[in-house]
Amino acid sequence: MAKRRLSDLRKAQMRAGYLFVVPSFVLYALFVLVPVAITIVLSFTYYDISFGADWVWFENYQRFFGESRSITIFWNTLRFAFFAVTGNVLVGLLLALALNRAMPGWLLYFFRLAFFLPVIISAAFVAVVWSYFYAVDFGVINYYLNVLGLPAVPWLTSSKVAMTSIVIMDVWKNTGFFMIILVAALQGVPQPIMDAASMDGASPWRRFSRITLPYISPVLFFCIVFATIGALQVFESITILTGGGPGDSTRSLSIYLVDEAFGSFELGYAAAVSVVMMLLVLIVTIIQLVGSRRLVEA
Amino acid sequence: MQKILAGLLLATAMVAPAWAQSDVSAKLRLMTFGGEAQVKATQDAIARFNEDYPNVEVELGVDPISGGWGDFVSRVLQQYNAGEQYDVYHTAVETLQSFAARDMFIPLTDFIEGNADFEDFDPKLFELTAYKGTTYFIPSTWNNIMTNYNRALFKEAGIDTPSKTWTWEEFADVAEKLTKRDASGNVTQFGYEVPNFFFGLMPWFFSNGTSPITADWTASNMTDPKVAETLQFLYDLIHVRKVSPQVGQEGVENQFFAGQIAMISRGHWIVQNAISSNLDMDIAVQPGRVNNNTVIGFGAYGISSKSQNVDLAKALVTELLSYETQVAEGDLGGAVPGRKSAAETEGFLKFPPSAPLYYETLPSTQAVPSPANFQEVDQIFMRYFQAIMTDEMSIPDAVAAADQELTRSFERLKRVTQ
Amino acid sequence: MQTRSMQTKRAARNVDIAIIAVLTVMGVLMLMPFLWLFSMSFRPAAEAYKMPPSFLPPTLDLSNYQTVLNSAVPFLKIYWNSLYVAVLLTIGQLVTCTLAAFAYARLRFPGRDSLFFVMLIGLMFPAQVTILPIYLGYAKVGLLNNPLGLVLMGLTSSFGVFMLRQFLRSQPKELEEAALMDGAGYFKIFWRISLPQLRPALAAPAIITFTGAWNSYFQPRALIESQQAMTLPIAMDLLRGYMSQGNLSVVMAAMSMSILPVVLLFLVAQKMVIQGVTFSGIRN
Repeated sequence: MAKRRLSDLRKAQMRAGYLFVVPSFVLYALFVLVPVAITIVLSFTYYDISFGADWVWFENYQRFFGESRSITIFWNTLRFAFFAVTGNVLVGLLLALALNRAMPGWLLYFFRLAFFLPVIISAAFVAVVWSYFYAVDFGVINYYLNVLGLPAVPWLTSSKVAMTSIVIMDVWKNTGFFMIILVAALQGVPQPIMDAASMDGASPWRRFSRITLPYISPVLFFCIVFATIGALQVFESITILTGGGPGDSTRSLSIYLVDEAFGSFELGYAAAVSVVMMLLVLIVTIIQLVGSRRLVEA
Repeated sequence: MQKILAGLLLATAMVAPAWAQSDVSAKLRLMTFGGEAQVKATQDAIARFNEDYPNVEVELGVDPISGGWGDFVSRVLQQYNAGEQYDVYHTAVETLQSFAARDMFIPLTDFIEGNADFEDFDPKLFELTAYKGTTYFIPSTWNNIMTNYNRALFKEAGIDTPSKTWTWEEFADVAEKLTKRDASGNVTQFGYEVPNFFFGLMPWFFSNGTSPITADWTASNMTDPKVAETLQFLYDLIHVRKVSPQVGQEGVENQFFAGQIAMISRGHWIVQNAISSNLDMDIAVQPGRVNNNTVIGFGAYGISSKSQNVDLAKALVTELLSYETQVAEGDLGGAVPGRKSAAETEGFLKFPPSAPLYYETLPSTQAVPSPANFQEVDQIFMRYFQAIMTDEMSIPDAVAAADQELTRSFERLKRVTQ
Repeated sequence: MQTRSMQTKRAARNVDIAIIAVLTVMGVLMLMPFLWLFSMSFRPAAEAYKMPPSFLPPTLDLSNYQTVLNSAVPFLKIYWNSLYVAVLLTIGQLVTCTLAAFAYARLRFPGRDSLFFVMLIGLMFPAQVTILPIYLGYAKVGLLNNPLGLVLMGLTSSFGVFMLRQFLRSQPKELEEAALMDGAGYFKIFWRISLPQLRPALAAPAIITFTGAWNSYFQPRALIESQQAMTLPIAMDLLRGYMSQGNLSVVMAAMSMSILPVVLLFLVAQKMVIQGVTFSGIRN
């Protein structure tokens, strides 16, 4: 009697399991897996939307890895991601550490609002506003720099500065998100241990690196992975702010991809760029996951 | 009794033309582009069309062209591929070759010739819409690039209004006189803004008798020494004479309206904002070296080759090109109406003071280069242009690299045109 | 006489105050762009581009707002589109994600972990990559130019499933096991036990989804051309105008109106957001 019940239970579980998973998985397959599969196939063709597809095997990939332009853009994407992630998570951590102390409730509320508000505003809006801030000759920031007697900075017109400007805007927009997560993580660090450590005379830095850091490392790691995936795919903010310029200095793979697909009508090549981009995200994430096994204490 | 009947019949016959509505029921889809001003004029035109065709529903799609015309072409191609194409398209000259090469629009030569109403359009415009001898599009409105200048600042500096044949040198001198600096050397007023967009830069090349690509739009022309010469002149304006702000992504029309830049190269589309900013502005011709030619770009209507309602579409296009619609578009300060008569109204001529100049310069305009790979050409050129102007690359290097990329792009293009 | 501990406490307090002061300055700096946006929307159109920039509204002149509402762009209809797309999408996602999270966290069935892993991979595919096939597909079934098409696309989220599953795994199983013993069906368990357990964690994905849908630009831009079907970020493109003809103050007024719901949502739901985000992020 018990055995029968067990296998009935198992069958019921299976049925329920599949039933519950089906809605989200089917939608996922339709809107993500299938398009991605089509994209992968397209990457091996020359596809003109009016004239159909020509099979070209690896020509598109050869073009990507053969042209210095696409390689530059590839490294731009990585570089941006590196600086953006470092900025976002580091500033988020610093803010979280700063916020993790006793203060009047209204002050805490104000800080949460001030730092989280940029996160929930459209990236498109943010970029429009910042383009007026960053305008070289009549922009808001340079206006105040001039007032202070400092020289104007070519925020968006110098290829050396443009990437930095975009990173600053990206950090402004996203750091609040990580700050909130890290504040909660910090609150999970047991206070008694911290107190014991300070009584023992441990310096703040020691307390941080030996106690706090290990405790929040899983969350910190989550932040890094999440920030990286987002940073590698950034599109709207850069497009509106610089369009990828000056030159190619701020062009990321996603912008290059859209340029090629919708501007040059090179759908097959754009598909190949997409595949490269997806592989990049995949590989970077795997590296981070593997790294976490060794560095993160669960 | 018979007399009454006859009277009634006669009365009906007299009133009937006013009722010449068609009861035909259909759905037309119209795709246009632009911002609010263009949309309003189009909506009004549709309303007038519906007076004659009350049972025809017109669905309006609008593309703000924020991604460039190449983006627009892509969409249209996708629409056709998906069977979702519109019946009537309002598009721009840059796109015409891309479309015509793919048989996407019906020839309109007969429609144009049979319609005396279109004689009001300048023949020059029709010249530019023909592809391999057939006309697929009817020009609607157009824009050229003129030198827009701040009259108040000119008067203040005691400079005469520019002549119709002024040269590059004269222009540069004027720009220098109009550039002011404060005590610490920061510029408070620039004489001119070197354009940061392809369309705005073309007049400088045309007026030097050259162009970034060959006249037949099939190959790169970057290695022409005149191209480098033009680039050098523009570079000097920024770095040597220092009369222009650095070339950036966002245009500086705002600062022109605020009176902080004395001259910019723009078209009729800025008139509305100039009026609402109370700017004392006027226009002058493009400064010349070989001639005073400027660039022209225009909008045009085409009817899809897959449309099921060609006659209705033609009626709609007729209304969209009517005198009223053209006047509205001109008045709302968008582009210059293609109909000469619509450009002679008080509304159009009231601002800027030299408004007749727009049409006067029409014969000396050259179409913006519009091969089927125009978006790539635009992009490649602008990338290297920016690199030159921001001192990232020397002119010889940039010109050689641009030439290479453009040539490769034209090579790839052959796949489509062959 | 001050003891050493009192001194260190004093020092600690001073450090606290200093840090809070720095934070305050940073907070104000963070808010500057918003202040600029908001005050620019009140500047008369003719003054829009003059220097110096304003961070406080110069007047309470609502004319720019009126311009937006009266423009040829159907702003209110577009507002409504954005609203119901975001709401439908949020509800839909909550439904599909909670069901899936429950299955992945609590049920055993063959292929469970592989399916979950496959779902996770979805996080790595940007919208730019998947949009063209979706466009072609939608065209075939007539879902272009239709806000419901946007809803359909976003009815599930790998991120949502992930966050909710993580949260559920950290919850106690006893109640469920008891209910199973009592012969309850799985849906009942889901409805009566797991869903209430999930409740504190639902706010965060809900708000993230809502704001994501509200702010989404790329997909709506690709899939919708008709003015009547557009969403707010695209309306902004139209207002900025062809070749940026649109007036800056007017665009800022439109933006101020557009960010209102999201800001309100945050102000009201702040606590829930924080709770939800922290619960899900904490356990990896």
